[in-house]
Amino acid sequence: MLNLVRPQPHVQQQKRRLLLTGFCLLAFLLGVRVLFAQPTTKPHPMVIAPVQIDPSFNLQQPQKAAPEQERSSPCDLAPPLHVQVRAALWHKDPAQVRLSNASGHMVELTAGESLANTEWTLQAIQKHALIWRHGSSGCLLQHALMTHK
Amino acid sequence: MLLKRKRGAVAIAFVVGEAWLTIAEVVMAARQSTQVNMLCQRPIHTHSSMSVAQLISSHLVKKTAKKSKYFFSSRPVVLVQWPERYYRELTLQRPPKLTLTGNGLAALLADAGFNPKEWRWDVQVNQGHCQFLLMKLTDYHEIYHALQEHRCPPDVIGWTPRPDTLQFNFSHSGAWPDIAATQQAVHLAVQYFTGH
Repeated sequence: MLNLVRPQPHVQQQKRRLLLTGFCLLAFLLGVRVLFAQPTTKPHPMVIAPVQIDPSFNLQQPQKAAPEQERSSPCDLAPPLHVQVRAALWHKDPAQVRLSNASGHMVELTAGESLANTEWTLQAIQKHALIWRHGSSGCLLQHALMTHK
Repeated sequence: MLLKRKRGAVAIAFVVGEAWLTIAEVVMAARQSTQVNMLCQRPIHTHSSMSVAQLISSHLVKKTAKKSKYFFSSRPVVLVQWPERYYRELTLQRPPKLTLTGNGLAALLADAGFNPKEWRWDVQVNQGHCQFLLMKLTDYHEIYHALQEHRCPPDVIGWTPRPDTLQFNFSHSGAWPDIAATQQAVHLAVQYFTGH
């Protein structure tokens, strides 16, 4: 339809201008979004290094896999909880562990010595744990050591 | 175009003749059909554009004052056709690679002897040719501003040629003195909906 109020060339030009404006606006918004976007933190894959065992630290008895074996054993015993570990003295040779019993008396044990009035024998003093052996059942139990920083 | 064709839209076409002002009100009815609601003619006693603008304005005010009719719909579309002597029609062969947005059409018009700065023009580009409708810029501004001053700026200033064969209903012969103008008015309003 021929219309002198809104001629076709004028309408087409307006449409083109509107499209161009819309495109520019869209490009501007995308640009703003890209510029001000916060970098996303992608979790890096964690590489777990194999546990290195210090070769200088040896148990006196070559039973390294004993605690692992004992864990699966049916021993349902608790470590000697009536004593508190006060200190582990690795610098002594042989290494000692200083314990205090319920009455507050200090007892020093080395590996292989048994706790008085109990069936527990200190099997080994490891870096982070004490290994106890129960006399009658022969069960091995691990007593974790808390290190103070 | 989609909005133009919406149901219930109203187009009022004013065909200004040398002596008569013919009005046709066409409503876009259901099922894409048009419906002529009103058709009337009023003689123009004075031929100045201002008096015609007053007639058009008064008619529109009378129509739009009926709030119930246009309350939920948009205002009626106003189409105006001025007397034939104001228009020039021109059909030119379409040059290759012609676009609507470039300066090619203005150059084509200039080649045909019409300065594009002195004429208000619109064009319909077909496959083989370009059909121009022109009106002197001074006439266009006079018409448009006269209607604008009376608060009825037209949406369309168009042109439909006088029909060669008149479709005349004899039973209403007394009411329609200018039958060709009535057909032109209806055709103009229908053209708005159909877009052709």
